[in-house]
Amino acid sequence: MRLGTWVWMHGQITMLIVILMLLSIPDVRHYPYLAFSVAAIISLWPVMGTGLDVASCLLPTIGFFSCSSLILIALAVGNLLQWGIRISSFELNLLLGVASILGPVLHATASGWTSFNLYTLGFTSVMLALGVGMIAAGAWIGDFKLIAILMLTALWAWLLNLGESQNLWDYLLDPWLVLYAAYHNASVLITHTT
Amino acid sequence: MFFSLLGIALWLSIQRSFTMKPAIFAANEYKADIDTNYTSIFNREFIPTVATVPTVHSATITTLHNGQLLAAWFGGSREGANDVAIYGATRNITETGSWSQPVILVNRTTCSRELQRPLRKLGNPLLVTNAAGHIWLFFVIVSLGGWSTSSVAYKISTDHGNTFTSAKLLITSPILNMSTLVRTRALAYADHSMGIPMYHEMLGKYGLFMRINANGQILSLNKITLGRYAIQPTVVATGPTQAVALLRRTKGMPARVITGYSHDGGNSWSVAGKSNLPNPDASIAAVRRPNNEILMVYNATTEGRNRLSLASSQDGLNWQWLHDLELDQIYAEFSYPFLITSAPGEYHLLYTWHRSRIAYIHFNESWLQSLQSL
Repeated sequence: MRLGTWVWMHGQITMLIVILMLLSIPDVRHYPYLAFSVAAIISLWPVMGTGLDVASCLLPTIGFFSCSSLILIALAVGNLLQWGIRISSFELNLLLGVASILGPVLHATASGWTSFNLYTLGFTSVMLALGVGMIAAGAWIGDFKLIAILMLTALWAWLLNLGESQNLWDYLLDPWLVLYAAYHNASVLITHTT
Repeated sequence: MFFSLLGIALWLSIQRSFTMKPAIFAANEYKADIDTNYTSIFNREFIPTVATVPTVHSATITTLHNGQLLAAWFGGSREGANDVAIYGATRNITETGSWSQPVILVNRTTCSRELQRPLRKLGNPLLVTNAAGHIWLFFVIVSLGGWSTSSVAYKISTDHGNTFTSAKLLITSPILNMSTLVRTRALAYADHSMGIPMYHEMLGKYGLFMRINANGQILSLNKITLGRYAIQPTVVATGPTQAVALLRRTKGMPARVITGYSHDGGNSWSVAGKSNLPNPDASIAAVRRPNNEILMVYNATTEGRNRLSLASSQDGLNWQWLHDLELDQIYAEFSYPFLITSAPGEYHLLYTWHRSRIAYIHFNESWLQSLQSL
């Protein structure tokens, strides 16, 4: 396994453990470095009889998070640690709204229901990369900095083969992001209608 | 700063896409060479068994650049058990000889550490020798659940199968990389990339065709069929960009082999329909003959795998039965054939024999022609 992929895998589990610690033990936020250190040690902790660590054992269930998920998780950690990161709710709703539509379309076309496979475009198609680049440029100009940075990060992570996948889609979206986006959008809709 | 990084990223993306060559099959995949076999050959033998391995299945075979054959299969206490490993054995093509004692090529525990994830079981192997003489061993792995949640990993050997690299995973599905399997013979492209028939088994059951280059970069992944009824495509090139796919039918009546066509090197496929060959939900194997026909090994029954036969066809839809290689009582099993050619008209077949042994048959075009002249 490449170093970048290994760091990605352990980094995402570490951040998830930090979130769990922050949510269950509020005082942990006063000791952020300690929290990250403990979480990193847990992610690297060997699991008896497997020859693997905790992060490796969780990998088949969790998979690799996309850049979008990783950045949103990092923002959530920052928010819980009260680092004063501000994201406009409109931009977040826009991002998650698009994810909740695009995700099911991507997953449906990658199934046996349609002859067209949107997922295959992520391997070598320059059209998808150009599309992502145009959205990133438009988002930056339109002052949607989160979306712009997210797209650019995904594009570079894909080009540098940082993750395990060779497919650009996997750096943009993952099933957990799509599920969270659906939950978020449903919550927003319910809030607006009640 | 932002736009500089974006500009460089887009430039690199464009450059990456330009490295992809057109999808043209290698000439030896489809060219109709003249048959030079004068002596009829038909030899059947078994690959030696391993005392501690009662069950074997899903064999694959490839020719090596050192003039040998390399076979691989999975074996263990039963299919899907956690003691299942992928075994391999070699045999000289040209000289009379016998198969070597099997050795373990892939072990579940070692592979789990190499892939940095728990593995529950190992499944179908697929051997491919590329133009550089490197051997690619693709194999099915399962971390969670059953076969329908499988993924495909691979190892490469640059020393004729003596040693293999650490396993690498192929990511082929956006949903936790679930449900991609390999089983059937690969094709070579003119640019030395490989066409790997694959299939998907979760929710839908359909065939896929992946093109992967010598660096392990996936160039394309396209569906051969849709729906929930066809898996394990065996693909035969019939021209520079033409190919026929023959698929195992998993459900529905009549139980027939499904036929599909591609006219653009496997980038897109259309399903022609059911052939006149029966298929009892069993794997099939096919190669090109020097006379441009397609030769298939299949279970010639609508139920059970007790009859293994040869058939030949010009179009992949209409087949002529040639010969029964195996025929026994209904409970017998002769299944999962894997057929290759080492030279035009030189055929090497492996198949599962009663789930306990891997049988090997070497035959040639002269022997086939003698069947058709009867």
